[in-house]
Amino acid sequence: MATFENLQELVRSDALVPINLPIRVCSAPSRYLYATPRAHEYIVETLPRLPQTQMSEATPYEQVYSLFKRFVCGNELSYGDGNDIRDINPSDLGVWELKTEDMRLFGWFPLYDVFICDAVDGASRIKEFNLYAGYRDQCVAVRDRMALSEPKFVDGELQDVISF
Amino acid sequence: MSFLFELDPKSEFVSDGVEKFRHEIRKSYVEACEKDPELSQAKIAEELGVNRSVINRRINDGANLTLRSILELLWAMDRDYVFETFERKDDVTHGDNRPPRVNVASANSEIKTQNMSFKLS
Repeated sequence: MATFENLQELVRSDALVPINLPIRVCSAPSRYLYATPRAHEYIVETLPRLPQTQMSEATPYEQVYSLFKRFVCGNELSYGDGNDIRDINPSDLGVWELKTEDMRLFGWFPLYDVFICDAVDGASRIKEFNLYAGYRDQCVAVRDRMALSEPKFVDGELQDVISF
Repeated sequence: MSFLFELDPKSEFVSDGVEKFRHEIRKSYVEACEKDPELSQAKIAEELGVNRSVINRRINDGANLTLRSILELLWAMDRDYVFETFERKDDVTHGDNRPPRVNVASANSEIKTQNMSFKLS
């Protein structure tokens, strides 16, 4: 099983980038976020340039910020059948999707309450080009190559990967 | 290397508010369904004369949550609300301005930010 020391080694080797929020937002994080270089590049370079859609009240950048804030602060991501987090089929691959109104983020949990984000893309683009399987397989391939201790992901259902 | 994800104070204030409304609408729907097991997105859609997918997008994704669409949803779910604003105490650009957590355990739903509250009952 991965450890925080393991994750720190991956940060030192630039295989992972920790995503932090300002201390004033959450001085004692309940959950932790990391990005692969590809996801980090998307968040820094592409996400701020995405326009607010006509149906949305917030820009994609604001939406992802809010999602990360709720994640890190330990707030709810699940409401009845309306979840902002779900596992991607087949669930035994351990790939999860975090969602906002307009954006989708794919990754996995190397540890309980620790999410590694490997891909970010627009919901409409993913649906239009049917990219779910591609992002799922990409996550698995990146994870397989990453120097994480085995097992490289937490297997199970929602309550097994994050706190409520 | 690490990445500090930040928003300017105005954007953070707006996105916090949007998120709190979205949270409250979804929580209201869950609570309304618990009270009335017959209630469903399809039933709300029928009452409002729109497609079920529109209601699903409004409740689950927070899409197109205009003032009118929020009020129509509340009406269809037999929910009422309290809306008030008040002076923002903290300077959002300095110091500890962590947003208060929504108390999900309360019997009535209430959103309170530093200068706004929104309560559904």
